[in-house]
Amino acid sequence: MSEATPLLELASVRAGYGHAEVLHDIDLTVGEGELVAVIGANGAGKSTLLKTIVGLVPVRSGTIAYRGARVATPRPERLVRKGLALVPEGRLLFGPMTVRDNLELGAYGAGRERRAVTTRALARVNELFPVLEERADQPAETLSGGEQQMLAVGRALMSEPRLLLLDEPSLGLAPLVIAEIFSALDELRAQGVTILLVEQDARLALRHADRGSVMRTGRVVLEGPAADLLADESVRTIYLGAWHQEGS
Amino acid sequence: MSEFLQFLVAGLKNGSIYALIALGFTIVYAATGAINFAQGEFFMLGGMLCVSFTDLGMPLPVAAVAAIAATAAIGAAFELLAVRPIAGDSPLRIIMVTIGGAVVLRQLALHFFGPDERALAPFTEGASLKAFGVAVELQTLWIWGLTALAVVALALLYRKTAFGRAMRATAIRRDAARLVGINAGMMVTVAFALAAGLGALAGVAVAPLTQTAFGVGAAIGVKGFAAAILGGIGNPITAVAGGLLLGLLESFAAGYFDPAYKDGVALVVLLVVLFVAPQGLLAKAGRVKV
Repeated sequence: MSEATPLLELASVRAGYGHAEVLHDIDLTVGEGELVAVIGANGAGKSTLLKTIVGLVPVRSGTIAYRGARVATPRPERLVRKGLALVPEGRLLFGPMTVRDNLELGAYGAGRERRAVTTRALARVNELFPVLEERADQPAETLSGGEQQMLAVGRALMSEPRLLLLDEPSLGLAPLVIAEIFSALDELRAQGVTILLVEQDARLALRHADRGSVMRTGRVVLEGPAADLLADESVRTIYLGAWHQEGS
Repeated sequence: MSEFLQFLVAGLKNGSIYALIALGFTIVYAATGAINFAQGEFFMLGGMLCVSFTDLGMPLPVAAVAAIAATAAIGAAFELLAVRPIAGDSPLRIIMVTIGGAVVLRQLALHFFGPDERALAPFTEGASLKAFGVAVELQTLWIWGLTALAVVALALLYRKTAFGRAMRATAIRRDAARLVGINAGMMVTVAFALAAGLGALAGVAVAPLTQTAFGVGAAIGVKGFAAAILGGIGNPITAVAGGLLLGLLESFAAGYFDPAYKDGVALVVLLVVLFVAPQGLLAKAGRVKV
């Protein structure tokens, strides 16, 4: 996976808000077809990392390359047209609009091919999350938390992404719902979608991932195959242990 | 009874104009979270440009459409050249820029159009319609018809087109809209253009009844703002209702008490609503529904 050009490559990326720098010298690669998990405690900079990749937080220095080409100024509305979609923290659904409207808006970036993409992608989303089809005419804000997360993933899939970024998809959800969402991620990966996942629940994320990176205070402090990280003594005590104590 | 009906007709006539201005406030508020205090100037520009175009020899319908289109273009240019570079997406700064922009637009109008009141011919010549002891000017029918047309067209745009859905999505969650590929900046430009166009439509439609001048924008801006606040700013349907209601309140206050009260009503409404129910009387609290 490391021989071919990676789908996404960050080199020495620094980013932050206002005067505060949140990410310091981040190196990260995601190869075609991989599922990479970034784990770390609250406030480690995981969400900022994803926001920086799509351009919601400006890059201060360093480079981001997607599909082998440098992205000088990332902008979410452009990247989604190139196959890079983010399922954001807090889901950010269009609450008063219906489930169907939310999904159809997910294909907005397809432009002229919107109709064809909508039909094709909608079938795939409905197969993955049948409950969304049942709720098609309901306002998104009336869905349960789990259904909202499925809708957020579904909306991102409507752009038929090559690379799907997910920000804490398990946050605040019941274990059964989490299992359903992660089995959907496994399914997507089997279909060839590359996934970069940010999770506080390190054990869960690493179980589904090929590789993992551990972030602490804005830096990647450890990385490697997910199985190695799961077995690593320091990771076990700090992150997997912490996860048990917090019980989240 | 006929007196009541006459006040009703007058109230709904002015109310329709306020509704169009209130819609303009609402559209920009939904897109930016800011009040566009230049909204009244778009009303003025619509009327003044239409008069100027007819002076140049354009037939009235052509002049009216051209004036509305030109004002919409000015609204878009105002957003692109002034609001965005100076204020970015900070609502407070946008408000400041629109206050300054209103002064600039008014002074430019004074410079180009002069200080005189100008008259526009009615869209249809003819005697008023009389029914149930009430006279309704033909121009009033035009105002109602055009307002209804604008509201329906806007509703279709928002509800039935992908572009309109994208505008609503941007109003609800700007970041999420960008994530699905919507150019949120362009949606703000379009919002200013639409608001300016609606203001201009109101200015053109009412000019044959009231005459127009470079300075008419400020007062109508206050009325439209009061109507939008009455409706709970951010919701187009209740903004229209707020406009009609304000028109009726004014008309009945002027008719049954004293004509001098007419212009005070909007300010009283504004103060009462802001003190008693800052979310608006007609909209559900805290909901932006576009």
